Amino acid sequence: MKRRLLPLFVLLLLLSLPGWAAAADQSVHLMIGGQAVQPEVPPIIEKGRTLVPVRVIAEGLGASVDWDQPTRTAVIARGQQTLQLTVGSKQALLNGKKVQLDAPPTMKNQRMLLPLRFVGESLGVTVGWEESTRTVIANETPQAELNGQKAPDGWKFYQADDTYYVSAQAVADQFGLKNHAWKRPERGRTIDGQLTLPLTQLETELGGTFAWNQKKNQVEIERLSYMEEVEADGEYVHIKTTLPVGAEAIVLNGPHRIVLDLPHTVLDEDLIPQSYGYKGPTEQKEKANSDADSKAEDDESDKSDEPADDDVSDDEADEMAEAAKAEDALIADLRFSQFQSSPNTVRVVIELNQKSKYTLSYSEDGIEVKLIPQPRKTGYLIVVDAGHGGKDPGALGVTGNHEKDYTLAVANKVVELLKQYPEFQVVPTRSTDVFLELSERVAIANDWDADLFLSIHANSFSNPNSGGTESFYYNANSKEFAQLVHKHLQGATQFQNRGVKASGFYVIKHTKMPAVLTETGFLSNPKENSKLTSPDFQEKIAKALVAAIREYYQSYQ
Amino acid sequence: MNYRRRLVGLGLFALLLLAAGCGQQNAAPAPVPAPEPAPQTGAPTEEPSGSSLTKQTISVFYSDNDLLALQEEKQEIAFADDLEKYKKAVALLEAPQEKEKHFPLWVDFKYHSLTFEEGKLTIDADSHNVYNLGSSGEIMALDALKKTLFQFPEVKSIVILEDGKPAESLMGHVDIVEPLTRDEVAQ
Repeated sequence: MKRRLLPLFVLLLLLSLPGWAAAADQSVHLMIGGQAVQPEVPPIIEKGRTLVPVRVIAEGLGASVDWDQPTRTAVIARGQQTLQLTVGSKQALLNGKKVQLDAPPTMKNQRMLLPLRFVGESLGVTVGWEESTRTVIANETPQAELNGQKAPDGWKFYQADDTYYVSAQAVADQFGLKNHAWKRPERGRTIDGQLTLPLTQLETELGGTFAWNQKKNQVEIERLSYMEEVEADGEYVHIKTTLPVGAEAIVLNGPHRIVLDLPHTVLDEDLIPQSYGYKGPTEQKEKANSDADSKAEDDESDKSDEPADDDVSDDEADEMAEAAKAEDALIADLRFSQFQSSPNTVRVVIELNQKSKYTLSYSEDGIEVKLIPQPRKTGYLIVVDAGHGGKDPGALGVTGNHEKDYTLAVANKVVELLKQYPEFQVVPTRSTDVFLELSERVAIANDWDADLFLSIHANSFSNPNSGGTESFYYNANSKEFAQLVHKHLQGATQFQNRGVKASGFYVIKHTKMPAVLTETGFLSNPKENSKLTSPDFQEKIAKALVAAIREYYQSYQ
Repeated sequence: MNYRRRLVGLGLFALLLLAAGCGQQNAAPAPVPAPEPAPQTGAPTEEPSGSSLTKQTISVFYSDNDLLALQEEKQEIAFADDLEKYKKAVALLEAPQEKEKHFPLWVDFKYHSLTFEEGKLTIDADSHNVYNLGSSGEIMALDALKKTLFQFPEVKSIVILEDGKPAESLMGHVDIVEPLTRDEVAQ
């Protein structure tokens, strides 16, 4: 048996909003449904919780409250939502389902006290706290549409006077505008620690239209950016949009591509025919042209001279044109499309002839992509690896000399000699006395997609009589190279021939190209060490290694 | 005192431990042709006090005189617990008995700690060690270590750290990032 008690009881809501505890002697203001409210019983703060008469909330938001005295249970109903709360119980029923409260409702002077945010949010009401004015803001949660679709859940709408304040950065994020710098933040309110701006101010700052349809209690936001132009210019790509948008970028390999997605953006009418995958309304020959630069237009006019009834030959022509351009241009291809229509997303693909990093800079009228090309392979690429270095001296020679100095001296000579051959591109792992991890040496070779890897070492053993030249390989693709290197190297040293062996040393195991590690001779053997430290002998070794590389290049390429 | 007695009792064993680090230049002391049998069997009775040391003959591995293949030697160790057993085995890697034929692959090897837990033997090596071996020597040294320690069935893997941290390589040729396991013991 329930009685309608709303007029008889004044229920207080227990407010559990953060920050309220501190100032027990300061008054708390209420803003309900956009209106400042002065309740008959002023809000009070007790034990760190602020209590507000529920009638005010109920009336302000159109909720009804039924009170059942015997069970000390209140049923609050609003629209489709009903919330049943019992004094002293942390368990509540929301639409018949059990939910947990962080604090139980309590009775105080015959008033039931409830946590406001819990009650409000359960009933679909937006509740916020503005610290600067010590105001609780509670209002109905309006419907919100962005470009004709339901707005994201993360957007909060707070009503104050006759406007809605919206969490500003959450809105900007939708347009890719991260950490947006607002021009007039002072026109906003900081609610629950976040800057909110009036709809009109958002419209001023972001463009588009931000309006509240009071009749439907619906916030309607139209903000579509039009992409008007995409232009490649050397190491830059300029993207012109009617409204600022931030791009989500992805980097892909094979071929190297930078993919930019522009949220809430549509192609300008003039660009549609040039977009990727476009099939003209009547003519097929305009298909899939993806270049936006003037050169592409020339290509297009060339093509229009020839019969365009064969798609395949047309494709081939495209490919040949691209291959021709690929010679020196950084950007191999630039294409774009209306990638998604719900929500509208434009995708711009920058296809590159060489791996590049990039930076994006934003302005009022678009995005500038600056490409930073990474060095690229131009010839038959040989990575020369001087073993050890820096803190790792390698083996100790009998005269106190270090292996790392021998390997560097020979490697530097090899690099200089190889540079004389225009067909070779040479990359040393180190050219000075620095330490490199084994994995760094391998990464250099693999990242460069090297054709050969040669690691130079010198041996050592506790028996000073031990000596000789040996060469190692590990992967099957390296055996021929190892045999050639060893033939030339041992021929030059005339040391004991210790042979070619398979062994899983890190740098020859993890490199993908033919890779060899050589041990020229023993630094622990006095006779060999005196030769290994002689610059003339080192030059001879370097020449032998280069001869091996040349022979391999001529025989196997 | 105790140490001296054992030195006498065990013949070459401890002497070689002391000599470790000087390498084979010190091969001078007249090598006893067959040092093992008589002195070593006699040793146990000479153990002072009631310390109950376990004795075991183990295999220890060295290089041949030209860094081509591992050579096995049988040596006897006495230890109070398993940890001491591992430590003595590691120490013997520096001390072949047949100094003319066998060359140690570990010389003056210093480590901060040697611990054993659930089949994993962890050696925290001193980063200042100078190993003075080339690529083939490094592989043989690691193989000698593995074969010597994996003869104890309870040892399932060996982890080598440097100054308490994982290291990529001890000598700059072979990576030791992954624990050494029985699967990869010498070809």
